Amino acid sequence: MFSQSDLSALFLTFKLAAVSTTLLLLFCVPLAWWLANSRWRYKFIVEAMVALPLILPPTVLGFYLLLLLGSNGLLGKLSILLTGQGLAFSFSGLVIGSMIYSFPFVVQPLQNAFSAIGKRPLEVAATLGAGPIDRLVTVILPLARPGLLTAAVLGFAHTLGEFGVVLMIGGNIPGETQVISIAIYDHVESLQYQQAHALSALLLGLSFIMLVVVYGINRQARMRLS
Amino acid sequence: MSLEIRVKVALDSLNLDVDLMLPGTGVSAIFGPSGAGKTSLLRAIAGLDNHENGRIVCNGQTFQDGSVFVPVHRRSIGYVFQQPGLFTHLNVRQNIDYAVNRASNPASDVKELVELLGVQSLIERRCNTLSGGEAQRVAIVRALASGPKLLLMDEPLSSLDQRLKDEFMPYLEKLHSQLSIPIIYVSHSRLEVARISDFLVLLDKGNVLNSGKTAELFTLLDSPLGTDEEAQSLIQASRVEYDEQAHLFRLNSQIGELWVSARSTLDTDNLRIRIFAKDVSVCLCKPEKTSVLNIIPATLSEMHDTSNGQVMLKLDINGHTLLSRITSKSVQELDLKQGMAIFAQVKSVAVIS
Repeated sequence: MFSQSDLSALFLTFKLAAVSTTLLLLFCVPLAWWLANSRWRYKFIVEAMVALPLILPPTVLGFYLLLLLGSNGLLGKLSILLTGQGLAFSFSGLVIGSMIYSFPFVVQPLQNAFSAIGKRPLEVAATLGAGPIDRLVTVILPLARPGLLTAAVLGFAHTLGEFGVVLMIGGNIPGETQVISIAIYDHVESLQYQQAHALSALLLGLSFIMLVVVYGINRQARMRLS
Repeated sequence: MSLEIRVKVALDSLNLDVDLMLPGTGVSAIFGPSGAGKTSLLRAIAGLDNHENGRIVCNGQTFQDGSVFVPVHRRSIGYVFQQPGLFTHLNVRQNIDYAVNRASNPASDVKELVELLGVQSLIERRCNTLSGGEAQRVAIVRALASGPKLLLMDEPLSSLDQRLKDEFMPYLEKLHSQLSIPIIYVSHSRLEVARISDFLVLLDKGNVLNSGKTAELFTLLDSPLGTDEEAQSLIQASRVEYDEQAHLFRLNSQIGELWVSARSTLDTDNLRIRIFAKDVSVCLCKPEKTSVLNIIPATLSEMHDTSNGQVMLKLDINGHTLLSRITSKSVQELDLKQGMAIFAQVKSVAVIS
């Protein structure tokens, strides 16, 4: 059913989604905690920036990323200096692009979860002798588990469906930067509807299952609160 | 053995400026209207808020002074919040263990604490299945399980309805009599303060109006407690006998023998009783044919005009104080003067703990 290049696109897409989501979670937990608890006056500007990828056309995002990651861009130069390789049209470049593209999908569920927890459980833990790291591991993360799962699933699913940004900064190199959505586009362009169908149906099914998981988690979390 | 507390900070809504010395044992209540800064003061003592220039020393252990600021998790304190704040991802036992596992010197008698506060039947329950009163009892066990050197309680009963409050009070009283560590208890309920505190701090608009022994502060005529409608005297007493036919207890109190009706059986010999000033009237000579059972000879030591034609009398009985509120018309007709020997008629006595 799937050709060799389809399979390698599938593998690449899942690898991209897994790497991006993992890095995003590490990066977004502290940021979301700050957003949930900071009383800084201009916090709303940061919140607006976080939400930008939600509304920007992926091509706009991809265009600026291309400038940034290209051999004349800041990150591109830095990468060449450090590793000898550029970022544009590479897997690392795709990871950076995906992280920005899926950023709000990870930050916002985390921020909501942390806001719902509030500061009280932390204060309680502190009075019981728990230090800062202890509080993070034994109180915040367990209490925010539904939010963490939602953020992970949404970040993963959203990265799976990435198209415009990848096209701009990754191009279409099989095995290196060709993801499912681009493989589907290729198949349609060359009128290979059957292969396009197989990949599309797979993506549709996966996306649906992942959303069912997210809504299931939310339902459980609500039941536990009431 | 004492608690030294100095906090000076400008908060959003008030300037908290407190310089206090509290006894190092027993229950000290911080009493005042809402917005007086009671919770802010308690949070400063715990170190939950870090205000500069504070000084907190608890029985020789410096929590804060100048550049020294011991973070909350390194102060051995127990803190009971208004809402129980149990960890919902853990069950009751795990909540208590959370405290035990992190304490450098955990309570040796956690099992007894669990029994004392009636928590043993809840031990395997999930926290979101507990009632408000049950959850608050678990929170108190948890706070004490860490073996704190100081227990801070912020209106622990305020989230409970009246019935639960009545159920809960005996547990608090048991704690009071069995704990050797100092407790700071924040409340805006005069009854709670009367029932469990030994020492009292009156706080208003961020400032200490007065502080001293609870029973003495309750009857001070230049304090709001001693002059308002609810003014009352607190007296220590012990039970002598129960007269079954009359359904009355005979008590031996600081102000002499008292007859009291009480619903429950009184079995302790460390009773605290409350007498409202409005329930005490005075006579110049000993009344003989009267329905009032408790008539006590006293000396009129102080008079204070309150308002609306009312006068608060401070009566001295064996060095203890009983307040009586009468009309200024009565004062004129009886020609009452300071130092006169009179008789106090006590219409109603309530055992509160």
